[in-house]
Amino acid sequence: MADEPKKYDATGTDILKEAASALLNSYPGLTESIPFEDLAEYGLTFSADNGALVLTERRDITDYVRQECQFPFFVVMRMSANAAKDKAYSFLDGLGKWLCMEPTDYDKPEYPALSGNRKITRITRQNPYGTAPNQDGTQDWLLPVTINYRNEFQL
Amino acid sequence: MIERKYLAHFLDASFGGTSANYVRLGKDLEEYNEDLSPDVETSKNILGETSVRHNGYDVSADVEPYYADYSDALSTKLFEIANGRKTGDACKTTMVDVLMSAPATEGGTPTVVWAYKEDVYVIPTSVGGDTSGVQIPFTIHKAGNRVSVTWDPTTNSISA
Repeated sequence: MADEPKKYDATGTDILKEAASALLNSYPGLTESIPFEDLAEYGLTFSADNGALVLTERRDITDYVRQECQFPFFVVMRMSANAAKDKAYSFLDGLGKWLCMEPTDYDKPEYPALSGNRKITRITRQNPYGTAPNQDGTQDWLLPVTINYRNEFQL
Repeated sequence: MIERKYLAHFLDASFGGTSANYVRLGKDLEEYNEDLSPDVETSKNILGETSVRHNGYDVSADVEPYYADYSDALSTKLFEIANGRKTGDACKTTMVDVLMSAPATEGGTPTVVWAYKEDVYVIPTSVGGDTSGVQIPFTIHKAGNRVSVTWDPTTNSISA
């Protein structure tokens, strides 16, 4: 079960959005770019509903704060509902494996440096899945991804 | 109420070197307590009178977790003690406890209320830890010779 967030890392949301965009668009298996929440009739995009979440926060006796945070997002692949579903699944699965540093045909990704005292610690994913076909004959395939990162600052 | 950050604890990472190198403890510590362990005996005689014999204190404090760092002078010394299985004076250094008050202006330097220096023995208790990083927690045993000193909060050193 997912941990309940303590609060939101509001500043981190934009920073992580930018990092996720840079990371996704550096995937060697990409034939088109992956914009943020900009989906045409067909194609790719990624979307983050929740923003950046603070899961745990520790404050030491010098008032230095360490937060363990998450930035969950979805990569969406929209295609014709009649198209081969294997294509969407295998593309998103390959992207997910690459993001999570699982073995793939490509070199492992270099996680982007984040501004401030934020640092990506790990990326996790779930399996891709298809949603119910849309009325216009398209279907969305989703890959849920979570960027785990650490944020540190002095109060 | 005094904010916890205004009670600071500095350990001399030079361990008796020619010039002291006081490093502040507290990184990653959500709590740090000096256990005074007073040695007190209370007895009551047949007249119902109570007598208290106080034989002093046996002060110690645990620093856990303590994450090691390549560039950290205290980590280097702790590894030296642990790897060399060193005992006695090889583990001896000094410590300064400082109580400060909030600076008069925002961003200013805190004012020192009092500062005490004391001899201590620093004994690493384990080496390793989980996947969060290499840890070398230790126990500080205070060894007396506690004296009031003048502390310079801008240089983190004892003023002459």
